[in-house]
Amino acid sequence: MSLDITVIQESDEALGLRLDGTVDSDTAPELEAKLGEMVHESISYLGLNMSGVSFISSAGLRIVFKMLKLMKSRDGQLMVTEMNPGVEKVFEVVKLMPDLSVFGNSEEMDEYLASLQKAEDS
Amino acid sequence: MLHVSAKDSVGSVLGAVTEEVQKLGVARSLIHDLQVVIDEIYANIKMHVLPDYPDLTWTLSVEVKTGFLDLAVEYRGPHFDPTHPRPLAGDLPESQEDGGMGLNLISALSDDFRYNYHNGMNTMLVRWNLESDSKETLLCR
Repeated sequence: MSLDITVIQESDEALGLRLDGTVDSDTAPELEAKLGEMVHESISYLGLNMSGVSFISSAGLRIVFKMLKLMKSRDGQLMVTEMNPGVEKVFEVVKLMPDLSVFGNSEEMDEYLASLQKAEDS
Repeated sequence: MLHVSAKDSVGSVLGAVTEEVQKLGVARSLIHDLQVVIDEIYANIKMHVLPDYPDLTWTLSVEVKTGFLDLAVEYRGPHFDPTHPRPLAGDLPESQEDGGMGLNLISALSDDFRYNYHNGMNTMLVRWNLESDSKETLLCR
């Protein structure tokens, strides 16, 4: 089991990533390191497309909490979309859902990230 | 039964267990919960036991019997009871960054989580009731 991280949108303020695989105690350190490289100081909106994530354990949840805290400290948002029912259940158990911006599908989140980029450009 | 050591990645352990329970016809939603629980137990042993006992090996077995799915993890070593997590405090994410989140997940995603220590052997038993409609843990037929 592994984790692939793909950039789907990137601008000065916003970053959209697609995660594929499992976010477990083996792969979480890799995710944390990659986010450390990718989430520059100017990023305040981070979007995670979770459609390819089969499960996430507490090792991954700690990183999500860390990113949420970071985005909030920058007056931004942590956005997620397309969680499978198991991942959503885990998010609910740790009371993470109320703090996230949850999009119904990836298109909605992509549009929102694109609108942030347009606002930056104008 | 799987024999696991620090050299085994959690991915390889999960792969082997998933293959086994798929053969037993366990529902996908329950396999998800089982995977999370195994990762939590694996991480717990790695964090709390292996630093002092790097050559430790443990066994992991999964069994479907009389309406239950049982996961048993056993290892010989110091007494370490993981079944009493601290409750998740408040709704703020900062309060959940510390330890205990994994053990809360095990309790929330299973129907029973027990620990026993006897003659130097630690035994953790996690159980799911396959006849619990509310948890959607019925076997696929």
